[in-house]
Amino acid sequence: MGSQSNAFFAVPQGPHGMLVEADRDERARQDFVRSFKAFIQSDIVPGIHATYHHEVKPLHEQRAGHPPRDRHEIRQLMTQHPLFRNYASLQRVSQELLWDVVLDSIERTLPDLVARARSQGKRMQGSLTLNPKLSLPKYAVGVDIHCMPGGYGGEGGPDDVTAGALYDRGVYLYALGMMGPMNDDIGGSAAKFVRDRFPDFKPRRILDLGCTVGHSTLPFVDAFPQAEVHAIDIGPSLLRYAHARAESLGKRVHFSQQDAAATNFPDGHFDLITSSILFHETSAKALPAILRETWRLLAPGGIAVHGDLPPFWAMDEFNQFMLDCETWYNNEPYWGAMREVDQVALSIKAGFAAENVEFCMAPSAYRAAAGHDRNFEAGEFAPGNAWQVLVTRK
Amino acid sequence: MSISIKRSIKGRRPQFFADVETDRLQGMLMAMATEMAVLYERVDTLERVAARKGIVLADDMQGFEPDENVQAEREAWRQKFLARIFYLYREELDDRLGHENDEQYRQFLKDVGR
Repeated sequence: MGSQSNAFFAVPQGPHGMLVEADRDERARQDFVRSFKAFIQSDIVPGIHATYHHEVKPLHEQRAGHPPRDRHEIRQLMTQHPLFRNYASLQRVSQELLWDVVLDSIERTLPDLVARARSQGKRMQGSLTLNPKLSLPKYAVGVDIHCMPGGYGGEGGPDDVTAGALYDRGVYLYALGMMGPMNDDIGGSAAKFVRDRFPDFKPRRILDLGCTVGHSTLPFVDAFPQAEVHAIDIGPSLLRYAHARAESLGKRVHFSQQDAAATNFPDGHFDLITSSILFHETSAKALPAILRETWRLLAPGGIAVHGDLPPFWAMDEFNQFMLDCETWYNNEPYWGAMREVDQVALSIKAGFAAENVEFCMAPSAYRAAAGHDRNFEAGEFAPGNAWQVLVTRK
Repeated sequence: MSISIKRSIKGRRPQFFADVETDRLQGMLMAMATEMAVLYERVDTLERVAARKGIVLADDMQGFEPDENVQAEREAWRQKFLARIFYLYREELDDRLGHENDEQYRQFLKDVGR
């Protein structure tokens, strides 16, 4: 067992001026939790797949005369199995420990993080505009998405950067480095996709929706150095951190606190609009509103590209079930529902012409470059070796 | 005053086992395992620093930066450690991965003339 441990993908997180520093014991805890997650993926997940295919599924076929019909039926069967229960419990425990161990470092060094954010922010290549009067969407602040304590809206005071520091380090541990040292593979793959697909496209203004710490925003700064890049999110702590992080890396981004469903930008203001794993953290009511806002904000000839994990139709029923565990066990209430939504139909309803809406898979740019090309099963990582991109043109 | 950030997570925690105490035990077990890993690394660091300097100094330990080789060794240790904790599951998973199964084992016992 463990011959293809995902731990071998691990690369150190890329340095920047805002990364929370762990002392000796804190680093040992973080390393252990990361190893624990890698162990689950490499040494337990394959056994869970085998349990289904060689035991649960044949037994059901024998009894019922047909294979399980869909991920819901698979779920009913698998949740009875002790091995699956244990696997699901371990995933949950590893996720809870992940945030908990990072919080140790943040609690210990918060004044330093706040001071660093202030001094990085003074460089001001880009900008930061917070709006304390913004009414934060309930779907986003009422849930601690992926079990992150405090959630995206978390705010501990006028200079707080906790949510950003926690998200940045936590996502790195979660992804085991498979999203690259800067956690930026979704944005990076989407930006590369746009450049490859539309080589003559020269956007003047770019907007990233739901940017969190701006990790997926920055590949667009690199891909389109002439463009003015904007990024929005709802969380003030996230945005302070994102701004300081971008400044420390010498990247010019204009961050502002806004709801992606109703921004204050003028009509047709952007040539390129993007989002990375925003959709699966967005409610069924908010998603159509965000697509309508995207339509409004795009200039004629503009392109929108939204990256996320693959939809259910792109994988078999068992992988659907495994991926859907996030919905049930990882505080991701919108995850499963979003993967069933017809994003193409919603885009057309939002105003895009049918011939200008495409649903594509963008290969992982980081893993291709790093020579880590391989198809993942659900439970290991995002299934396959590509991100979904919804491409809509105006 | 030390800073304390709220750590509880909104929403009811899912229950995985028939008895919620088992869920708690698993969380406790892995929290303990995390601390064991921390201790392991402390001792590991202590030994390495001692070997290098011939004397143990707290500052040396705090400043110890594991290089790539040490990190790889530690990673290998952690994987072994995890494999040991999950020894009960390893057998069941191995069966399902086709490394060995009950049928083969029964056949083996038959063949050797139990």
